[in-house]
Amino acid sequence: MAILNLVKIFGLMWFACLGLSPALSHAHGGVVLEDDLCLINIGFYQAHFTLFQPQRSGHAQFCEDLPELGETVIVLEYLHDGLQDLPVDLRIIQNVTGMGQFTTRSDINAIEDLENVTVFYHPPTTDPDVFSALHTFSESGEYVGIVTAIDEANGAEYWAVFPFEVNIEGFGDTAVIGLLLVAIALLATLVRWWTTQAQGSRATLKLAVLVCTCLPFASPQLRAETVTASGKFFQISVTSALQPMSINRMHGWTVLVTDQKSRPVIDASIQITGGMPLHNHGLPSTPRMTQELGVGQYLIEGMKFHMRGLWLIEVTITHDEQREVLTLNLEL
Amino acid sequence: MAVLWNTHLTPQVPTLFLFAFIFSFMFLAGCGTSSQSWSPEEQRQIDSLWLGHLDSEHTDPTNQYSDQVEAQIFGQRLFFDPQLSGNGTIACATCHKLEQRFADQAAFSHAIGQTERNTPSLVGVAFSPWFYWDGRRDSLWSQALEPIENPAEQGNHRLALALLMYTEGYRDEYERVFGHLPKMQSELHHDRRPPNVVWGTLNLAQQDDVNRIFSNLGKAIAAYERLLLPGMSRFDAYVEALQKSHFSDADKLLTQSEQKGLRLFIGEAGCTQCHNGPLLTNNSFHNTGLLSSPGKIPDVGRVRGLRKLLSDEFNCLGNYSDAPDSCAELQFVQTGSALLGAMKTPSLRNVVGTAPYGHAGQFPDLASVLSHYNIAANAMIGHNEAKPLNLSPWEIAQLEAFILTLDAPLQVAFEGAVD
Repeated sequence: MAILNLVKIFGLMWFACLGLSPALSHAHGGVVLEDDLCLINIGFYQAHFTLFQPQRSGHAQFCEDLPELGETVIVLEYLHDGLQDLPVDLRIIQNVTGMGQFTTRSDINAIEDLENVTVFYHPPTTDPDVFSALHTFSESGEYVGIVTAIDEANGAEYWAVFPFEVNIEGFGDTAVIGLLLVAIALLATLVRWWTTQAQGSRATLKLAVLVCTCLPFASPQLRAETVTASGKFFQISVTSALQPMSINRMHGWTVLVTDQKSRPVIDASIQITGGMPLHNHGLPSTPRMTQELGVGQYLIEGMKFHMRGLWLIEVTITHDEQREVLTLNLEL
Repeated sequence: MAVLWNTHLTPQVPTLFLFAFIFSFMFLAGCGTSSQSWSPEEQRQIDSLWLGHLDSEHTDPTNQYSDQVEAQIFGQRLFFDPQLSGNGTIACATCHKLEQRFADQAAFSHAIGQTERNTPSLVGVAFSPWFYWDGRRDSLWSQALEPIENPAEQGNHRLALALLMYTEGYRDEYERVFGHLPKMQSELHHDRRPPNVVWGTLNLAQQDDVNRIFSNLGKAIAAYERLLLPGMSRFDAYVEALQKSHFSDADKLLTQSEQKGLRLFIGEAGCTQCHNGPLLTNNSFHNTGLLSSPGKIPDVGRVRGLRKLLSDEFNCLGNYSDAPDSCAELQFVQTGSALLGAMKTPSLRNVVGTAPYGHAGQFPDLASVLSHYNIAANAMIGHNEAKPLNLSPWEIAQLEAFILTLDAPLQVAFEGAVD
């Protein structure tokens, strides 16, 4: 038993280490822990595999140990473009391999009659959003989830195999392992945080760049009728057709683009994106440039805001070889 | 850009939140709230929720019959008419019950079958650019068409409905609003085959005639539904007192607890991020991490609703819209993965008597809704936009007390609209 525990602990540490090394985790099919979610690799695609028992444990999410029997929601969220275009199926079998948490694809291949041990099968489905399914576990035990994605274009078949337990007795062992896991996860998070601090994760870096590069050009402008921003190549002056600016109304903007010598810029193209940094969401519409009004003026249609507060609007100007992103701080 | 904002909160934020919480607690505990204590900014926010700001000029250009009295009267009849259903027993009003704020009190409604989502109230519904929890229709008239053909709701077919208009008892009223019915082959009226089979035998021009009649019926129903408006609530009277600086009157209209709830509503609890404007909804789509209900997988909401909307023959840009040049909402619609699991913000003006709440009726009462937002746990699919409020139980009670002050009887816009 002690040896088994030791093996389990080493196994979990190994899983945790995979979480620390994205490059390594890419190379395997299986479940790894990253940021408290269960990440599976289906070939070179990644997805989050999570189990919920909403009627019993609300929002609690599981991937390796499901605490109770009963109705379970299985959610597979695709993390890569591409997977949503492939037919994906899910099979859950009783784990008869004897390999427990270390079951691999070759162990599955060795099972003679897969149908006989299958407790749940969701046939191949192509869902552009998320793969979810419902299964009621009626027996405690060890199970294996098998996700298969088939790329009909090149005939490739991608697999992920992930063992999990349902309502297994022996809380003591689980508690010890759980604590160890928490400690490892904490350490991992800390290391990742340091790493992120050093390198800057893409999102944080982008936000930091945005704040650092754009804020000097765009001081907070409170409910101004005309909002301006200035960059290395261009200056913009934005006037809203909706005066005063208010929420929940679709409206247009006129953007005057000039160069650094205040001459109008003709034949530019403008893209508009934005969001509320404090609420982690973007615009409630997809505005775009619909018309060049002449003398450096451009019409943007489809502007809309649905909350009061600080909005950051990124205006990307492209003209000849020059491209620049100017940011407007808009307090509504 | 949505991805850009999808960054984790910096470690400082929970600390700041804690300080804000402690500070606000000290502030609230230290002094009572009265109508005189609002800052100019708070007054502006409170005023923005006043029902008097509801746009009285609002219209639906895609429905030229929106404001015609004959259409409203015909629409009212259709709304309560079970003959519109396949089995002759289900009307719009079966689930949108007059006596229950045009909603019902079931998690899922029972029509011919069971609905897939909770029936929302229709009071003030006309002011939204989107209809259904997932916004899969972009006008009130096109929304009214779908239940008629939904097998679980009214289970009828547009052809059967169009033919019904040629019968005595409907024809006159229809033609009074929409003009003469097109000539229809007489054998169609006697065809005993199921309408979906007959539909397949019609040529495009005949199908277009049927679609025109069908969409007109939606336009009449919408013309009636547009009249279902909320009345002035105790909260609105409070705002009017504030507008006139009649503070002692205001203090008689809302209790201390309700005013504290209002302070939380527009402030710390951040409710006005989504529940804003005179109907207390931004009519936008948000994933707020609601759990799936028993026996159901998580609802993907707006992402699928949007796909349906874009391919809907009755949308703003379609042949049956009366103003395909007025479709900015559709042409500039928000897309992207942030809409996974997102549902439309409901109005808070009609909550009394319309429980359970949530798109699947997940919450039996207001307290459980507020408790959900207080914790704001992770979403089953997509990302929960809401952040934990960490309010105390008495603050939750104050918020609930405030929300109840928005209760008011229906405003009846024309005599006979609500029999």
